[in-house]
Amino acid sequence: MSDAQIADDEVLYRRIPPGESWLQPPDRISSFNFKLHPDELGISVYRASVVDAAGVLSKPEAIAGSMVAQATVGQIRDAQNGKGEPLHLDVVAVNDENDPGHTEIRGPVPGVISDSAAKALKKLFKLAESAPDASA
Amino acid sequence: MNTALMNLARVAARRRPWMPASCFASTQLTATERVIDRREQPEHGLEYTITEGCSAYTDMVPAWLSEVWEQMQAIAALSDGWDSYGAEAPDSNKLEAAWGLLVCLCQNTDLPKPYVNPTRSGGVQFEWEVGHRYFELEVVSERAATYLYCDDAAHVEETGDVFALEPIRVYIRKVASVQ
Repeated sequence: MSDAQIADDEVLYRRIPPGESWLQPPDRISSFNFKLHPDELGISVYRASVVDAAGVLSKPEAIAGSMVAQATVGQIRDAQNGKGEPLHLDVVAVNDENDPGHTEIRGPVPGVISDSAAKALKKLFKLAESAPDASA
Repeated sequence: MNTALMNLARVAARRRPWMPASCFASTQLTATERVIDRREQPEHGLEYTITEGCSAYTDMVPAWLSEVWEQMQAIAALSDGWDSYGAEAPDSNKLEAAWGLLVCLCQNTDLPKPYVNPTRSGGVQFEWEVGHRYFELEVVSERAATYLYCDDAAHVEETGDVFALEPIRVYIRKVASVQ
């Protein structure tokens, strides 16, 4: 079910943790960035209209050296699996007055993001090159 | 040194102190293809077991395995919340299983080095990606792994649980064969 409040052309940000010690190359985006923890309903992202990339990196939980990747809501809603079939992903605003702009990418079944969907998101999200590292 | 790292180091020490792949002697251990013992465990679903007989200490492992070992050590040192979204610290049993699976997988082969990643649930994920082809292998528990293969150009996607090594090698070779 689409949230009409979030337009398809809106940009979403997700932090990518620093992986210089274990990831080669260290700025590679992996599908693991988009796999759910068992207690999550969706993949946490931030709406660019509410929080800019620097703001995402300056959140208290952000880790120094993190990067920001971005994709549009429309790209996510149109995401397909490797066979070209729709994944039916959606972007849902999460009401949290203490965390403005917080939004989740959800699959057709809340709490489930398939490996196929995680791989599709890996492909869609690109590093935001202009995002300053606010934690540096 | 956290618990996961200590356990991983203990596993390595039990097998043999780490040596560069170039130092491996062909007489030290013999690789075996009997690396996965399939078994039904109804209470845990279908799982596999890495059996004895796999070791990094033969001359038939690729040189990149030592780099992966260093990456695995770095992964073992991660703490809870390492991704800033509440990820779990790597589980030493899953790390050990992932290492064992990779060692068995690459013995006596010329498979290319994977990308090595921790997962948000304390596991490890290996990825191979060249052009339009992609293969990922995720160790989800001590004795269970899943895979995903995609060929975006051919609109092919295959997923499943790992039961045997050779089909996995076939997928990896498909990825590596992209020019």
